[in-house]
Amino acid sequence: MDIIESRVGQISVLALSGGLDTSSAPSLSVRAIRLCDAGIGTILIDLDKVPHVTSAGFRSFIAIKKRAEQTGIGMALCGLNELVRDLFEVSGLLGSFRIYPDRVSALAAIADPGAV
Amino acid sequence: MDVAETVLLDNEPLELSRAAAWLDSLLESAGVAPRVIAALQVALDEVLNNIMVHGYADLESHQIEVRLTVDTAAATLEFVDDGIPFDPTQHETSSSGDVASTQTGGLGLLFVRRLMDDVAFERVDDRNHLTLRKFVSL
Repeated sequence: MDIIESRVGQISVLALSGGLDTSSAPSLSVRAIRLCDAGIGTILIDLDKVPHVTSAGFRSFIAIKKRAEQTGIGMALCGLNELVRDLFEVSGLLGSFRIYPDRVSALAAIADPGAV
Repeated sequence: MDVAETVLLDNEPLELSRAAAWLDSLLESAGVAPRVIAALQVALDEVLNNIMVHGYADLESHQIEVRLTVDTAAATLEFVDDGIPFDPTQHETSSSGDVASTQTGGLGLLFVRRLMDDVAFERVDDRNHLTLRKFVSL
């Protein structure tokens, strides 16, 4: 899985491509937690090119969320496909994360908190 | 195109990406739909992870056999390991909102049951045999 990092104002975007699983989840955790500790405003994890996420990926999301909360950093996800969204639902985590359909709507919403 | 292939893995986390690549390559050449491939990849990761992390009471190296068969009706993944007896079909899972309390392995089994059309377990000759089946549309 590749991770491409970019910056849009105070938002750090991590665009993943490939499956998020036992082998690749640790590298996401490391990158995202590093960003939390660096104090950028919000981390947006873009899953548009991620065909599947396993429980290891979900544990990574949870660890990142915990660190984000500790460091006062925002966290959001976008680009979930049907399978990934289904697994969020099945794990009871759908309501625990800020989830947007795509990067454009995510960036707009994060940049303008007054909008929905 | 029908497929019947077997791979032998060491109980070593580095083998997980080799297994995923093996599965991807076979399923793509069999013309299986991407969403079905994705579901099988999740199941593969969850099952292998469970076996490797929880399956052995020793520090020895062990082999895990994974067999994939694909026909017009279904894709079947069979896992054979010589670890401690573990029947995931009998294992309690819960989808609690507090996943931090969900046991490692619990969430994975929940995903497997959700994504697979059939999950069957047998203990034969001191080995765990787990068979997952997913209907395909080719």
